Amino acid sequence: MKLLAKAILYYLLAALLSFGIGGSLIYFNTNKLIHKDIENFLVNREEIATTQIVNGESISSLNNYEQKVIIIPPISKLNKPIFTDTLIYDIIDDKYHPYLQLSLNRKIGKQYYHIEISKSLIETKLLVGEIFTTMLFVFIGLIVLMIVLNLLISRNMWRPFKDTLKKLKNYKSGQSEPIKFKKTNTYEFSQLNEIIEIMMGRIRNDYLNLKEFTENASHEILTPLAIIKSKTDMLMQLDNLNEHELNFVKAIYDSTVKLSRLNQGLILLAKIENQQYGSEEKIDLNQLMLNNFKEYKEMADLKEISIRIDLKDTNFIQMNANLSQVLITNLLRNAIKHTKKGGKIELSASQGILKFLNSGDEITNKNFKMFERFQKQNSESLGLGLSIVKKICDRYFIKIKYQHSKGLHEFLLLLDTD
Amino acid sequence: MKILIVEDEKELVDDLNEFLDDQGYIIEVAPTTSVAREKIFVYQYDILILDLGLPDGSGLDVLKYVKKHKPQTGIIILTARDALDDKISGLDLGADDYMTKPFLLSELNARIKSIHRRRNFDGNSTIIFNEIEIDTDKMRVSINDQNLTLTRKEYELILYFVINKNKVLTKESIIEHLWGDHSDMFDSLDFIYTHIKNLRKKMQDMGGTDYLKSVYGIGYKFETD
Repeated sequence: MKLLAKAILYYLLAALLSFGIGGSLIYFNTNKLIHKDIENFLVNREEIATTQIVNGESISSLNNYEQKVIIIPPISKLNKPIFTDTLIYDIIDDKYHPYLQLSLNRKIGKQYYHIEISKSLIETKLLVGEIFTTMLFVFIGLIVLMIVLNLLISRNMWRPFKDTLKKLKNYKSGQSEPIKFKKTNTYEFSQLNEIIEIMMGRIRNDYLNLKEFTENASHEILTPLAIIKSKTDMLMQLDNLNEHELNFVKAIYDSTVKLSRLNQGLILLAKIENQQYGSEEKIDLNQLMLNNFKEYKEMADLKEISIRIDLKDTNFIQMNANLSQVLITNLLRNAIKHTKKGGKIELSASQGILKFLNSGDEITNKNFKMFERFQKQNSESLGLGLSIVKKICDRYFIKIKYQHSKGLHEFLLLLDTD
Repeated sequence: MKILIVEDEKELVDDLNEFLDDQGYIIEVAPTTSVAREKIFVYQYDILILDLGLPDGSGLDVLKYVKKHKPQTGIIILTARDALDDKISGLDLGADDYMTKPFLLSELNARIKSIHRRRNFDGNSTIIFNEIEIDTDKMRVSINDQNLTLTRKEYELILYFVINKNKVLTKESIIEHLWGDHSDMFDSLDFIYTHIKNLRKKMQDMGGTDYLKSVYGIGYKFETD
């Protein structure tokens, strides 16, 4: 839910509550006030009637539609005025109307009288109704005004925030330029921007340090490795080494080769993770597959692997050229490497799907996480190839799936086609 | 042939020096870009072996300098940096070849020879060793003046052996030279044996001496004595 919608909802609830309570308070108070006023009016009228009786006016002249005076037999108990709500039939309107009625037994002179005076409440009702409707209109008007104002103000007020958000969204850690936010005079937003800028500066520094470290690591490790390799190479050239000694040298040599591969793989992984491969271009994956296949065909031939290629639809993807190369070759290499002599490989491409199939036995180890680094089936393998593949796929939102069916290892690349 | 090694790692320089000196090259060394520039300005080198990460700057600057002032010099970039990034800029700037550390001396030797052959248009494109004659232009090998019908790989194999004669070449290095860095794709490197066997047979059929010796199962050697 958007912040604005949320705020408006809360405003609405609060307004509804306060208007409800306020409205009913006003309703009851007005009603009470008017009632009181009418009571006073009735008491007044009764006093006038009493005065008229005292002055000797005939009772019949005092009786009318709203006033009734009758002589009653003497009673012991005289009461105070009683007010009752009543309905009186109106001939003209042909319906009952609400009235407030005062009834009283009074002794004037020597006579006892019963006096009833009524006053129609219809105007009161109308008045209260009018007040209520007016209030309702004011209430609705206020709410509409509030929402519109809120929308307008927030659109303006939140602009720097939206700007910040947009810039953050588009920021990539490999970006050379640090983020610069627009100046804002809203205290909270300028604080936010300031903090983000400081934070980004720190992240950028960390990133640059890491980048420098990976570069240094690669340089500093590979140079001694080069020395070890050339020394072992020279050792091997000595004429007086026996087989035993030569095998020691060979072991050093093999480990050096492995170590340098490992180093290269890890640096590549780190670089992908650090998003150091920024530049992107449109890559024809099918073409890439074909080009690389030619290079690897010889490898496959040496292992007497039969290869079937079926590229139906072209698949383009926006990605870094080097990484696309690494992605495809790693999958091809993986297929060739894990296919036994005389096995088969199938490469196919359809709309949004690239398939790499190779014959091989099912992996029996249930805990084998092939896409994680240093997961390997044999000690010869480095266990980096597929983790590099996975990293690249993640980077470009390519889904990679693995399954094994009918004696075939199946790697699927599902491209995001929209 | 004169070679300038621009490299700051002393141990590596010593190895290169010893190895290349053995091959009969004249070697000079420059540990920094400034020394390299000086030497390039004063002397004439056939081939420059250039490390990119130098204490006082990038080898790419030296590369630009050479391309501007001594364009006839062949250049091999030798670097520990990540191949993917610098390879392209290095080759774009006109380097002839590119090797990533750690490399093999025999491989470097092969590439030096190859550049030298390519650069010396006027010079000799044939390598002659005893009864073997290799025409690198036409990619043809003959023994006792009889043409040898070789596959591409067999041709590359014999060339690699003759260039690195009397050196033990491991199976990995042979595979790396012939097929690129793919030796990890094979459970066993014994398929190399088939190629060696075929080559040996073809050479012997023409009356050639069998120079190819197996070295304790780790590799092969083109033995001349």
